[in-house]
Amino acid sequence: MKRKVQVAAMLVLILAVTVSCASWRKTELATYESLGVGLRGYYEIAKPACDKGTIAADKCVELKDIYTKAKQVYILAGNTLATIDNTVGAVEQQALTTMYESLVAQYNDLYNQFIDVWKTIKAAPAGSPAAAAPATPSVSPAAPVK
Amino acid sequence: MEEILNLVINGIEAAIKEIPAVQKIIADWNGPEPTKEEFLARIKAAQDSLPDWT
Repeated sequence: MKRKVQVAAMLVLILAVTVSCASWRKTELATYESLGVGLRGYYEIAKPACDKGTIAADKCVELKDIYTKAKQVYILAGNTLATIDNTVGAVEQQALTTMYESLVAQYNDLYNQFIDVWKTIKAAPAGSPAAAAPATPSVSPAAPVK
Repeated sequence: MEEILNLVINGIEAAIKEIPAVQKIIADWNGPEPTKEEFLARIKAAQDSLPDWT
């Protein structure tokens, strides 16, 4: 009886591992796309507000700088993800995966910096131009890929 | 005992991978797996979805 339970547990584990391997592209894509959606949401609110002058110019420069860096890291992460898919060797794949995870972590740091700046704008005293900043988008980035 | 169990499990795993119907079920578990072209195209689309802040 105990042996049957062990075999059944191992079979479930094997199936789960097999399924997770089979859907690698799907999982990575979902994570990568959701990361971009988060930043895009903030861009669509912050950029027009800066263009209208409802956010202080120095804050706009700061937001633009963080956004541009985050976008560069995001593109690099995407290129790395594409390269992982084209790479056959396990060692090379592992190295690229580590690089990808590092880039995603960098991206998340920049994203959080953007949100921090955004929060300072939102918290500005009433009557200041920054106080008129629009609402925060309801999107957030997915957790980094493990 | 553990070695026998491992042999059995490895055998079952190998058998599962050889059965096309099982492979298909696994591949389509949560929607079909994107092809390489779709994968690359969606990465590119995601990258392009972030406009330049000019």
